[in-house]
Amino acid sequence: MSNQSESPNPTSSSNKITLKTSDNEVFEVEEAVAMKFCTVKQYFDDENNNNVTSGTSTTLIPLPNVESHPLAILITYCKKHLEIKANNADNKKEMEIDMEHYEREFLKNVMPQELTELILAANYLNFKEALDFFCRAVASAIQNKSVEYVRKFFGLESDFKPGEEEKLREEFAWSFEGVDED
Amino acid sequence: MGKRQLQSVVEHMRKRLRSAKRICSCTSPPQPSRSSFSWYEEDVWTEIAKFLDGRSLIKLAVTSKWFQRVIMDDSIWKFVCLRDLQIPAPPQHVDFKWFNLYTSAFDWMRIGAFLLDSSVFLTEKLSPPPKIPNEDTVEKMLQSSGCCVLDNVKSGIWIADLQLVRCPVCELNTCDGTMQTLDARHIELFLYDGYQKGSWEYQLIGSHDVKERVAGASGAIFDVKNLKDISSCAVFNLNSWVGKINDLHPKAMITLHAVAVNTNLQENDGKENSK
Repeated sequence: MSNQSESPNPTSSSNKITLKTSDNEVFEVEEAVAMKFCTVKQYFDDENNNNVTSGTSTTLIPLPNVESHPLAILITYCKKHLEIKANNADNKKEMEIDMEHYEREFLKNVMPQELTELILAANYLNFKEALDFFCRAVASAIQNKSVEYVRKFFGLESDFKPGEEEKLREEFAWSFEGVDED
Repeated sequence: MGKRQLQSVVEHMRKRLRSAKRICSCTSPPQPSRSSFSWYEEDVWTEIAKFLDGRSLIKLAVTSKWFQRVIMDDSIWKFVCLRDLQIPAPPQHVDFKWFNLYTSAFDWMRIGAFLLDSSVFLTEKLSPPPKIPNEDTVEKMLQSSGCCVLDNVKSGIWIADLQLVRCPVCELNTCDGTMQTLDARHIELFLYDGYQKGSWEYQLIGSHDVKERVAGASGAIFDVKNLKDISSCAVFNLNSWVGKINDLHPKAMITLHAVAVNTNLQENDGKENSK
């Protein structure tokens, strides 16, 4: 098992890995999915190296910094990601189109507030594709929007003293030209 | 490192200033945050910042004190500056804050950025192979062959702009300029005191006039050490970037260690090319 190479196709891998979240939920995921989470992969590889002599393989991996809610979403995203990759192994362009389509649909079911949990979880798990995807989603939601829109989007209130904000706006006048409509 | 080809300088500059629209956008109406968690996570914003253009970052910084502190962190601006210049981090230390470099770097007719770390080769000929002249002074090199080598060049990131300059003959206020100039400067230039106060002395290193009829005006700058690189050679592949004969718009080509411009000229036009 320690020598088994990573398989890009989730269906060809029957090994399961168990992940335990900070709120004590247990997820059983295919090895190919778990290996996309670099933090898990690292832990898994270390464990295997340590267990080579004893012959045991414990595959329960604790994730003290990840809650079950974002993890479930990340697993779904990851499975689909692998599936699309496997289906279009020899056509990169098709793969990108499928991926784009899936990601657009995916975002419709994600509340903006969920994105921060997802980003933190993807960051902790070191799942690069998901991290980039969610960050891009947040960024494109506020790209060139007005300060007021951004505040409303994140539920923020200004805590500047009177005059402070105006001073900043003056100092950075170049970035307030041609703001997109809300 | 793929070559970066510019169809039209102006078009390209516009594209760069506005960061590319990405695949998705959250169009759901803004909703107040849930109280159980917060957006106040620095790590999250360091990642999101990588996908925001400079102007959006500033607007984010103006939303609250917390965002001002997080977004104005210079490591974010280093990333954004190098990202938008499409260049890897240079090994040299920079003397100024990346935020200031960013703001000073993005208000020209931008061609792009390139790296210099040896002497520099200037030429008005874009036909391969590049021949380094062997005269002993820069002035002689320029006069005889229209190209020269300059030592003592500050290494690091250089920014190349194409500028329109009014011709010295007519100084009409209504004229935006008709003379095209390939302008290259070290990214830190504008921030130096001596430059800002105008206390530096400048020196004209030479000039080269072309008297015969030519099809186009061109000029290029190469890092000598990387002159034979594949990426630099892309500059000489004129078919890939120079405009068709009737296309009189300026075109530019930039690679990691070189930059070149060419503008086709109408027949009967003289050409003046000074460096």
